[in-house]
Amino acid sequence: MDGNDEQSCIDRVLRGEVNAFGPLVERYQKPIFNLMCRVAGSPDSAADLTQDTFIRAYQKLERFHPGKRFFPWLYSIGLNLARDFARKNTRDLKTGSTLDPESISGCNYPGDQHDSMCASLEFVRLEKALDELPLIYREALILRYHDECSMRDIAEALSLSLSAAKMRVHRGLEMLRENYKGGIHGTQKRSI
Amino acid sequence: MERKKDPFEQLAQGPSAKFENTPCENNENQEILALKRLIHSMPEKEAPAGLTESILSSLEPKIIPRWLLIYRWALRPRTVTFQPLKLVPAAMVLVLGLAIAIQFGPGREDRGGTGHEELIPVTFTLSYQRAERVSVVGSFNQWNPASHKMHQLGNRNTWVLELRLPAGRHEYAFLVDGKVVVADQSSPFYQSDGFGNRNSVLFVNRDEPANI
Amino acid sequence: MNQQIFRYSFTLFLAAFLVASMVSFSYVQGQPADSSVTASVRAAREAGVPETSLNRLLMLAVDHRLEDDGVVRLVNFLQTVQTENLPIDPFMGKIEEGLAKQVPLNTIAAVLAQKLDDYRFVKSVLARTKTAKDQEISHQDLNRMVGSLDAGVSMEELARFILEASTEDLSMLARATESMALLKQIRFDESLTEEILFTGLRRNSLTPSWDYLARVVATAKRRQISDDEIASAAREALEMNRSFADFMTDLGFTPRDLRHGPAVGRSGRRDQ
Repeated sequence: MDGNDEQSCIDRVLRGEVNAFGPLVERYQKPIFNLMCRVAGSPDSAADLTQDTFIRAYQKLERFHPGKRFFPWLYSIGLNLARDFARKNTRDLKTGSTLDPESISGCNYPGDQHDSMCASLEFVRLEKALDELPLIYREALILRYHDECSMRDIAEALSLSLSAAKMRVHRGLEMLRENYKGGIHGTQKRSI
Repeated sequence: MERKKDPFEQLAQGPSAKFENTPCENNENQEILALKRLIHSMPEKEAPAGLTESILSSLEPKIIPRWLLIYRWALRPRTVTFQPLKLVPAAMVLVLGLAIAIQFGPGREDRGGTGHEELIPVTFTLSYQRAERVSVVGSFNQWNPASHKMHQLGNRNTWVLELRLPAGRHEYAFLVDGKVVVADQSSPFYQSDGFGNRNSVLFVNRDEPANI
Repeated sequence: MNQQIFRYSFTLFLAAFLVASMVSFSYVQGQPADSSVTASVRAAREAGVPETSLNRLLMLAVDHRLEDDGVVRLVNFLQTVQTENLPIDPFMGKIEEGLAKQVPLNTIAAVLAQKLDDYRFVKSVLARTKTAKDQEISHQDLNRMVGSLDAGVSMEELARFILEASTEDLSMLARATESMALLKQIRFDESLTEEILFTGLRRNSLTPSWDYLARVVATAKRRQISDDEIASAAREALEMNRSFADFMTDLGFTPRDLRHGPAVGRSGRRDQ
């Protein structure tokens, strides 16, 4: 599905075809759901927030500027909902993780699985380090290096100027490096 | 005792990734490169099954006025293909048309015959705690919050923006987080906006002694 | 043959196309859903409301998701303004400002109605003067006079000032009313304000460079120059038809001040 297909879906939705919204949901539900998981923690809350994001986007669809990319616009709606959620709920509610460190460190794994478990541990550390970043820095990094968005799209998704988006990515990387180092050193200390 | 390998080292020695050869990243240290790789391959959760159906079932068909559809159609970017040879006469016609418009078009008197308006730099500054975003809205940008967003300085409570404005009198306000209207405390002049707030008034004059 | 591809937006062509399309669609298909918007836009256009203003309004309607009846209400309002030969831009600006500040449409409509009354009031006062009976006031001058009401001058004060001012020049009168409001804001002595401005009007010396009078007075007051001293310098300059630069020199402004002028908010030179 490219930009023209997306525009065609949007046009059909605006002419009253609800089902034309389906392909857009299918395409972008995963990144939005993962955004919500990072904010809400619980998969149930994340699913609700994902649903709210798409419904909100549907309601505002006539305000989507033709010719622009749909994903940054959708992401900015999702981010606003995520911020509202974070404001209403304390962050210590967040319990879930893509990978659970306890489930990994507490088991003995055979040698051939060792490498993959090392990698999993790195992701656990990364998630923890990312989690300590302010929302906008974390999402800037994920959009840039995970979802491979252009800086212009990131700026739009985060409702920032282009230079501010670049600054968020640059600064976010520096902050992440500090957090990540702290996590490694902390782990080593605990293991002694 | 064997030294435990630094995770950054392990990651940086992984298969070459797309982040390695970008021009601005050549000098980046191994740690940053490793983190970029790690974020790139970070696993994702799958969205719950049936989410699409659940969303679609809660939507009502849209009823959009026809004028809005036409408006959107008109806004859409289009691709125009033309040949350079045809461009030359077209450009000549355009230049001729513009010349006629400038010579005889309306508003000639308003420009005072100079046809050129000097823009003067003006710096707006606002101190405001706990703002997510701040815009300058005013008579010079048709009160559009999207057109002039301010930048946050290092202390995070100071927002600045430098604009180039034509000489004259301008009315403006700061719009914080899209809804809070704040007047510029540094401006001694103001105007009631009728909605319960004050707009600030700014006078910009040309940088020419002859005009003073 | 090499070919070049350009992407562009049709925004500039929107007004003509949109209005023409709406009219043709309503004729061809008789759409009841948008007939009210179509009809009001057509009527406003026929009344002389500029295409650019209608364009701006329809764009706002999209950006702010205005309901059809809201759009019709605003279009009809612009038509009234146009019919009374008042400037459209201040009203259009107020609509844009209200929507940007997320003001409810009903409140915006009330503010527009108040503004319309202000314009009618100023025109009615001007009609009572000898000067304005013989000439049509420009929209720019009318805007400045009405603007003084929003800047803290009461209707009574404005009417008295206009009626007591003896001038043939409506631009100077507009400049004087605006200066009166601004000087009031910085608590400059009101009787001295009238003396200065009436001198300028009587001597026909309140030229465009005096637009910056209030700015200079504000700076002078910050430098502890008394109201009497400022008024004396201003009166003398206006009485003798001397330039605004002379007035500034009399107040002790340096050549640097003269070179750069009293531009509020200039980068690095705010309120020197």
